[in-house]
Amino acid sequence: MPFQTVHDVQRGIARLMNAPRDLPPTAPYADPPVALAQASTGHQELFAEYTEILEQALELAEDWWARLIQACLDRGLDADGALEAVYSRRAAGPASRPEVVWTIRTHWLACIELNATLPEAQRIPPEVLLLHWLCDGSHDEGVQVLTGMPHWPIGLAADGSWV
Amino acid sequence: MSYADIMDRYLAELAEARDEVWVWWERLLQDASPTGDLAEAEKAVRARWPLGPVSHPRIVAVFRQYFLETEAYNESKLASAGGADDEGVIQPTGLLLDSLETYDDELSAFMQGYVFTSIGTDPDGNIA
Repeated sequence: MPFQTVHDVQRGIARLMNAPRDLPPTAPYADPPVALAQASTGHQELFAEYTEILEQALELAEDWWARLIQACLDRGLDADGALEAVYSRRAAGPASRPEVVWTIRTHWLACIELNATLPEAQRIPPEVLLLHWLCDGSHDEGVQVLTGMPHWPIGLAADGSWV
Repeated sequence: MSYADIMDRYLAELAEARDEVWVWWERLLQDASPTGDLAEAEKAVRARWPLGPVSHPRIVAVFRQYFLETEAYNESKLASAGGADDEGVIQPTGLLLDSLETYDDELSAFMQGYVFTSIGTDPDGNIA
């Protein structure tokens, strides 16, 4: 059974792809973004690792999310009430699952680290690697879950470094 | 080290970060309202930042730093108590979010919208 979520996936894509442009740039922006096949070998390898680890995190998130909803149904809530109850404590929906958060954060930071080793023209904004490349038709559950996040779970330290 | 020490530093850093991101937020609104229509600007900016300035990564960084520090402090407290007694242990979200109103009303109000803690768990089960 797919994830039960309430958000608009396309709005989520637009939000998470556009919000980073309001922040200090991580890499040059291209419109449309650089395609996976045109990216450096390092970025392609990082994306392959990311999707593998994300898949494992999504399996945990799927079971967890379904159990949370079922627990609400067992308490007598109807389907809408159960979803409302689980979202009231987990605003990012199944993306609130800590393993999902860790996967996203780890690969955002890995992309920043990889970019630092490459000429500027080869650098890729992390949101392109984490979400745009995921929108290839073969990672629909990942896109569904990630786009429930109200913002990227990443920090910016006072010295300008991503943490 | 104590919860009071953690809160002293957290409140100072959070207030500084909040002041920074308010400037950033005001600039976003101005950029989005060339005609001066602030309602339209707010709508446009919130499409990208639905939770508002509290979701800026400066705030995420400060919250995460003190969440992890509180978690480490709790572990050391539990270890020194032999791991059997968690009385007096305050969970990070309880300290950093729920108790804020007893320290600073404005910061508490600002952090009301911080609903995605951005705390992960690594494959070894460690909070990260």
